[in-house]
Amino acid sequence: MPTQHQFCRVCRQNHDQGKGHRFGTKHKQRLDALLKKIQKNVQEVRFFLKNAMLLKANSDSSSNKFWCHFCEQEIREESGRVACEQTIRHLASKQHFGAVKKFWFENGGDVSKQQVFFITDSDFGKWEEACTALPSHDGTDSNERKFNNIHSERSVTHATSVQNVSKSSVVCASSSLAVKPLSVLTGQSLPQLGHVIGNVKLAAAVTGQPWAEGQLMDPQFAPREGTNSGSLVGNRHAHSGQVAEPRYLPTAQAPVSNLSETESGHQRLNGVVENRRSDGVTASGRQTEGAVGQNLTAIRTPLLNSGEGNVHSGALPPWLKPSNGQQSGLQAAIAHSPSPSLPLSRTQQRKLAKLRNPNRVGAAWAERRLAEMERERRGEVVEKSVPDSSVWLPSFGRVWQSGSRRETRKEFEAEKRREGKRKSSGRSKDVASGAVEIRPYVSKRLVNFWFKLCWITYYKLISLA
Amino acid sequence: MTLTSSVSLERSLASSTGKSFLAEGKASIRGRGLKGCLNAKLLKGESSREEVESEMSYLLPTVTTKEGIDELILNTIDSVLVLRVGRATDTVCLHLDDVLAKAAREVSKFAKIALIDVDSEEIQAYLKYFDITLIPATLFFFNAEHMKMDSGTPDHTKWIGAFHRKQDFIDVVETIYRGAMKGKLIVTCPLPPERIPKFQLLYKEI
Repeated sequence: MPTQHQFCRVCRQNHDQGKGHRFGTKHKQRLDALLKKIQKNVQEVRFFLKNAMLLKANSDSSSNKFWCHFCEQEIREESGRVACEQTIRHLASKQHFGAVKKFWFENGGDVSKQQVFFITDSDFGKWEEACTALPSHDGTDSNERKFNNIHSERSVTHATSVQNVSKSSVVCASSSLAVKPLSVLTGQSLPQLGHVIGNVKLAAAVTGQPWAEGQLMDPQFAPREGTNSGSLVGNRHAHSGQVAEPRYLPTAQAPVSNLSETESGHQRLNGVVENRRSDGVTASGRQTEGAVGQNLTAIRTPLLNSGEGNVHSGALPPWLKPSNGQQSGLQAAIAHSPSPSLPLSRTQQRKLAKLRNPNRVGAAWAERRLAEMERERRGEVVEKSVPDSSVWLPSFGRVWQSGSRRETRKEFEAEKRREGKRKSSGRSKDVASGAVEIRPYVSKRLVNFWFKLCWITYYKLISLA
Repeated sequence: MTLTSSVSLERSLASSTGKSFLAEGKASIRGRGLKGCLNAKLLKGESSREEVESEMSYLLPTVTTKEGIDELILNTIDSVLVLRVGRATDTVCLHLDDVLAKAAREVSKFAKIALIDVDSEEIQAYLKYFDITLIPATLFFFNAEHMKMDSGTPDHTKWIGAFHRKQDFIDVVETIYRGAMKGKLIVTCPLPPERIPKFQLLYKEI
């Protein structure tokens, strides 16, 4: 029996599945997404339910609308004196309550979430009380009516501080309902030790108490993630978007009470830093400016000259830079030798080589260096291989010449192997560099074309003859 | 390259490559024997604890030139090179040296340990490159590649501070060796957070 088609408000589509539709996975997903969206809007309104506020007299409240998805109607804030007055009244109405119940009946979902979407009578009563209290404290002058943000929460009940707060605190536009509370406390001050490093102001925030007690802050990484527990928020990296310029937010007490927390933070932040580096967002490196450690001695490192890099910026390490060629015989004795006391036989060496992972760190260099050291031991004069020389760079082949690509690859690999052997056997290097013959690229198609043309002319000539 | 005496070098060699040393048939000053020696000294009251510990830095080769470090890095193949950058008079450094000296023999099959004197003028290039501001700092290398370790501290490039005990150091070196043999340039620290020294660094962009 064909069932009647129904329209699902959540999925915005017609279906003939009857009541079974609301148990579908897609419907559930869409319902969740929709409820989340509505909940976000309702939360904003709830903020004004808790903090009843007066609107500015000249504020443009007509742009302030609220779409109620359950009742399918738009609520406009036109004649409202208090922020979100109409919306709050709507959410508390019996009609809305019924609509929410109906929505749940039609679309299923978690019943415990229902109460988020309407306002209970007790909450509404409190709000009304607060509203009646407002005008008597605010005075008669309509020009003095200010729309305050959360800072004025207390001031609503204290008549004397209303004007002070409205003057000193930030006055936000009435149309913006999305006021986020500050995530960092701004109440108390903290002994600070400020450094101005480059264009960033950093706090070393040493509180004089032992670190083990949790008085640990992370001034360095704080600007990289704005909502971190650090005492500093910078606009360069702050994600919260609340702060306009780099400044201190003196954290009330040491924000981190648990060392492991800090460490996880570090890890996370380090990850961020490394990601950035790999992304190339912060291409430039960094250098330690100051360091504090538990019982650790700090030393002064020479400053980097311009153009010089360090381990953070990935510069060429010092052991790859050419030195004046002084050799200290003692080092050779200390250094780990591949065959320490008893010389290994060929088969033993081969067995050991098989055990070594060919993909280990610096494998190719290690093999070459081993061969070199072997020759050094025999007393030959060897030019040391440095990992960054041009030969070290991987080569992936060359332009295809003739035959199949597989053949070209095989040929190239064979050449490479031969070259490697020649080098390890200690012959001169420049022979190897000239070994690869460079030929101009000739298109296969072109060759074929000329070949065919020749044949055609040949046959024509024959036929003519 | 300055070593206090040839005896100390022999000692260091003995502690690191005990097997070969014994094979050559020289006087046997092995790790345990040495430790016993020191303990005996302590028992006799011949020297204070600090004096004994200060000898720890002589159990391992000390490098003071750039060429020396270069050579160490370029000659260590398929094993981890541990470079301790520090000062032999520093208290934390003494503790670290003690740990390193004790562990040297046990890790000798897959690691080499050397000490670098931070006050030497010739190694400033290395200090600059590795951005060393706190001592002792321990660097790890494998096949002339610098190995990093993520230990949850602000700096992945080196281990700053001492190890709490010998086994901690052995674990770290082993993790690095295993990681490097699998082709990893950065490994995660195997130690629990409470045994990792805490420090803070302020970076500036360059």
